Amino acid sequence: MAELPVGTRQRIEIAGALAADPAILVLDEPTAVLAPHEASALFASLKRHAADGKAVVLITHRLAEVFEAADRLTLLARGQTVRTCLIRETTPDEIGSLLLGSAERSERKREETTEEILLPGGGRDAAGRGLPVALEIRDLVPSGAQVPSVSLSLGVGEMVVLLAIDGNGADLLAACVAGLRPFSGIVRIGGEPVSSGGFLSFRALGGRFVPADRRAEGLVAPLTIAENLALPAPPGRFFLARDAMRENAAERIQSFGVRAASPEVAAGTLSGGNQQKLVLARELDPRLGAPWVLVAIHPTRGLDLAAAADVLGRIEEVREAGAAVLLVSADPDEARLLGGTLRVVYRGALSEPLPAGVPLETLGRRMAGLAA
Amino acid sequence: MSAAAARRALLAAVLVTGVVTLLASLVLLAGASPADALAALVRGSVGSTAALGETLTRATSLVLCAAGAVLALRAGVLNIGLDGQLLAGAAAAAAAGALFPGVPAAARVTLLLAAGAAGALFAAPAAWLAERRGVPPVLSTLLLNLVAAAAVTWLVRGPLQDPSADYPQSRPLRAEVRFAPLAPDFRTTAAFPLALLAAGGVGLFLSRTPSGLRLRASGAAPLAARAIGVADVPLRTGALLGSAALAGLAGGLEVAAVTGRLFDPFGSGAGYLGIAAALLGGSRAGGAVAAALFFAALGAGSGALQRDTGVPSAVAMVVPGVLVLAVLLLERRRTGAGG
Repeated sequence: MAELPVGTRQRIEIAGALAADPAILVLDEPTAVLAPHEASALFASLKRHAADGKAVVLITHRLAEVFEAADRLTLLARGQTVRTCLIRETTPDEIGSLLLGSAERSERKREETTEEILLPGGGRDAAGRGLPVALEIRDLVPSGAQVPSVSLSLGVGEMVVLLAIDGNGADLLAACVAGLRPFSGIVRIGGEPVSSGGFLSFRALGGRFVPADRRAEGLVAPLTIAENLALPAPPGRFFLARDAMRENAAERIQSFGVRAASPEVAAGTLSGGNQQKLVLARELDPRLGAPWVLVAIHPTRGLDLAAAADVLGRIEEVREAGAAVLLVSADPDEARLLGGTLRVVYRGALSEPLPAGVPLETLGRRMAGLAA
Repeated sequence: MSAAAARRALLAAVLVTGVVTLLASLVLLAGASPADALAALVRGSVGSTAALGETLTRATSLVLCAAGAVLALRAGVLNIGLDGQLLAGAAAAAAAGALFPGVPAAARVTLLLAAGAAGALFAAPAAWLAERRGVPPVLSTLLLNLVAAAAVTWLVRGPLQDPSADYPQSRPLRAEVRFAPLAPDFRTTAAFPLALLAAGGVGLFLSRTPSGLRLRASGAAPLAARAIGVADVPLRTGALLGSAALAGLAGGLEVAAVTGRLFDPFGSGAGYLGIAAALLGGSRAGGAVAAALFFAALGAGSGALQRDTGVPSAVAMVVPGVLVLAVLLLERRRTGAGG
């Protein structure tokens, strides 16, 4: 079981829960790793379940799902109930604006402290056209995977979104690019090669990485926030410069809007959204130098709307400043909003570039491996 | 925070009560009074200058092995081979102690360096196997213990055997090279403060240095450390070799300060007990030293226990094992409930 991709495990788990025919069924973000047509099928069976007189509680951050599946909604923001009503008493627009209200508040807070992110190269046009290739992937095959080879190149300031249902190898592909998994083929950043499994050369060449599982891979949960932010090269010659660490942490926490009691609390005690902000605060630390390439896997998964908007805003800032962004997402709604080139990954194979305006249904069919 | 502290205090109280109850029942089973047994234990471990000297002498190897175990554990390496590395250090000390006749200081320094280096060298195959071939150190170091024991058996009957006697033992160290007791009637030598210093160094390294922080990160979350860009292989290798060097030093000091020579079988399982002390001490240098001192006191007191009350000395040595198992059980339950 543990070896199955998270999407498959999710489907098995939901099937198991439904098969037990429970009187009360609670689902927390059940569709995060499902394809759109799978989500629709899930909602249909949930509705049948509810029609049998059973209760279903659905926790989601996707507005469309609420209006597709629910009879009644409760909108929560930071632990507080904002609104409780029947679905027919409200509209998606109304709930959306309530949601964005809290997102905008945090957005404004951030803008006051926005910093200059310095980037390599400089002096390029806004669209990044005709500029050097930042990330080049040629004939890449993850070691041990029976998949076709992948070639892809990203210009300076370009974003490519790899859209895939979990288990189709998009995560693995991104981890290979970040030097965290062995592969055959060529990965180059700014023309310099990243060796297979060479996570240190990836970083040295200006690569930054936001992993899929922030708790297990993005942060060292038992270490404090200040300690996490000091890695991978803590300050100090013989002894740690604790004061410098604390100051740096305070500054990073403030400029990324991390909600934490103090820089000395364990990173693992933060909420998911704040953990992700902490990961970005570390990865985009100007002390590490300017990022050439940002690889981010499911950077907004499980985050509430405000935190997700914040994280995507940060990524967009880095891209605008000239970094190439390779982003893996399983959420077609989100992927279309990002504005980058879309590439669907199905069973390790890359689709042709798709325009951002491609219909949702087409994306869903492509993700599921059906002809468009 | 205070809730966690209260919880920890409660756990400690439960543990101590449990261990005391267990020990008292064992003493009763052996037909003695628990009060007498406790008095004998205290008398034999800290009741006199001589008893304290015995405790601290026993503590020397334990403190060093516990510090070594902490260093490895925090890097996420399970070095079960401390006992074998201790033997390697003892053998190197017995061999190197004969060098520099007439210059005791040089001979001592050489002896200790040789002991540390021998310990590290003896763990090098395990480090290589772990990083290049994926062999878990928990297996390789354990098997190397058997190699070390066999090597000692051979050495004291072969190249290192004292030609003046038929016993399986090495030539004795010259008297001026051996560490002298710090006071008359007080067995402890400068080896004990040296061990404390080394353990303090481990604690300082882990909590206060950049490399120590990187090592803790790599040990606590290996995947995250790699994703963040912490080079994990040199850290793990360094921690294993450093841990083995401390065990080797323990073996060298055992020869230089206590036995004066290598014989077969050598050592009292300080390597294993050191791991127990490290676990009981929460994988922290301070806690591990405290646990090592406690175990050493139990060991020293158990002699008086047998002499004065007729309770087998082995009864006292049940305590470390039971304590560590209890701590591991509680830890497991806590992490199980938390995640």
